[in-house]
Amino acid sequence: MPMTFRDIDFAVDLPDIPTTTPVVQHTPPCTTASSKTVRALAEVLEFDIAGTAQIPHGYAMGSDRGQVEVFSASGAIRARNVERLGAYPDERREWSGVERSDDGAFHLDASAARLLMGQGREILSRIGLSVDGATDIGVSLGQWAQLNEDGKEIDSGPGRATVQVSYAAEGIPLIGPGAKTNLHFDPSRDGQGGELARMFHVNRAVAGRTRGEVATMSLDEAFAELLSQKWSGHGVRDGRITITAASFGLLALPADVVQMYAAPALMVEGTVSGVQVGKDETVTVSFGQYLPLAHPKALAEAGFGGGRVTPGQVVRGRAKGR
Amino acid sequence: MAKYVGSWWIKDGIDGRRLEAEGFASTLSGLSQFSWTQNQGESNVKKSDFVTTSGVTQRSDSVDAMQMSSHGWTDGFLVWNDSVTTSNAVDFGKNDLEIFATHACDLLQHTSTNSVGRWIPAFERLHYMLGFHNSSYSGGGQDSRGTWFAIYAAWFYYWAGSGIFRIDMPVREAWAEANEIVESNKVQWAYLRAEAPGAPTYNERLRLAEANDPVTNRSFWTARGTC
Repeated sequence: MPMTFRDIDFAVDLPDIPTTTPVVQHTPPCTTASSKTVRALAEVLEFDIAGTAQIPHGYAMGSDRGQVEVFSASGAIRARNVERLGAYPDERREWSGVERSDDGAFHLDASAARLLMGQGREILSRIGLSVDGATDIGVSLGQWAQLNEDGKEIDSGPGRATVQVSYAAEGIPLIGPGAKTNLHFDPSRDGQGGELARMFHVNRAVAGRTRGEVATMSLDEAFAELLSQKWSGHGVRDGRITITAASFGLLALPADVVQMYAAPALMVEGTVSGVQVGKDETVTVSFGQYLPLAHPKALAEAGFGGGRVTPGQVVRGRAKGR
Repeated sequence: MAKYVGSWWIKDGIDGRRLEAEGFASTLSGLSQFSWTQNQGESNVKKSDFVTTSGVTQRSDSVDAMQMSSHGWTDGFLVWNDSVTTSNAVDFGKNDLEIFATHACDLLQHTSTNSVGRWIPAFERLHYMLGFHNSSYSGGGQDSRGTWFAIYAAWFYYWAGSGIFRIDMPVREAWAEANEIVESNKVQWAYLRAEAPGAPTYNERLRLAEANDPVTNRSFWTARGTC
């Protein structure tokens, strides 16, 4: 029997969801304007540009030593120094100012984090990337552990450090994969700050005056997509869903997707527990899912119609009659 | 001889989950160095594909690298109407399998109270398990995860433009870069790898040439980072 909204437990408070939400319209990316950024990135990452190539998702410049890619769908930029990606023999990185929290995770202390964030801002300024609309900038430290054959942890420590920037539009957080800047650093040889190994930036420009508003769905409607899943082959019985995290925002799609507007969505995580039909075993699986909060029809009425069009692909559900 | 790759997927209502897995094998099959020999979906995703079963050929071990889409948790992942867990006889790499990549949530979570070492018994001659420390996402454009993994792990090394430049990236970096495109920065990619004297895997690439298998005197490394 399919689960219903009554089968959902909320272990966290849901964010406030307004009855109407702005939809932001994106301007088309101007990839030629990125050429200065591309060359500046090659300088920052210390590799030469041997040539330019057309690639499936846009164009790339660089050499065997490093590359910059520009995504034509979004104007996103990715760059790396390949030699630096393979410069270490294992996961260990020696950072100054490392602290360990009660849960065992490693962090940079405030001073070391500040130094790295400053370095990140300097790089972004040097390559001409605007972080307008940034809502949050922080440092996330990678984690590693070494285990023996029995699975016992014999050592652990910090890995590569990432300066992360998140964004908002119209005062609403942009959620999803398509609005962020990541600068990934290894420790610099002089022990002061980091050496950039690779970076990724995607944040589509927003058109100034073209925003509209749409009515948001009820929670019942929004969660219908989650409830329609079977979870296991023949489904689960006596199922319960527990929501453990929920964020509201405008969904920013991945950098390789043409996105003309960003509409409201929920980003939820949780677990589903139930008995697999045809078996007597209870299973509990984890999930993360984006749930749109605007009806396609409401979007169309607000001037954001058309949905997603894939050339050469017939969407049978749109046919009338059969 | 080409390197064999495969895809396993359960859509559960979201076709992007099929595309994620097929994208990996499909992209590589466009290169002469790789051959897409296994594509199992929905009810064809069987427990015996991953668990040693008497009298049954374990299909996942007939490929060198595979990507899978199905639901998961710290101790297991779903197959069609069943599950594969750390308590099963999972021995990846008895024959061929070197790289097992999946979007299953939490599968490689490593904490002070729940070590990812629970998956070490699954390493027969496997080199890498690639997955997530926390929840990965569906429903927000994650369809191209496998395509990106293939592009960075091998396609950009063997591609037609390699006369201009080739991207020679370790497998672990390819997994991180692929997931950075399709996941938010709240999600953490993760991997568990085996290594041994004469079989270093930290900088291993997905290439036609076979890398040495880590078999004896092994140690294991797990790492995670932000998408």
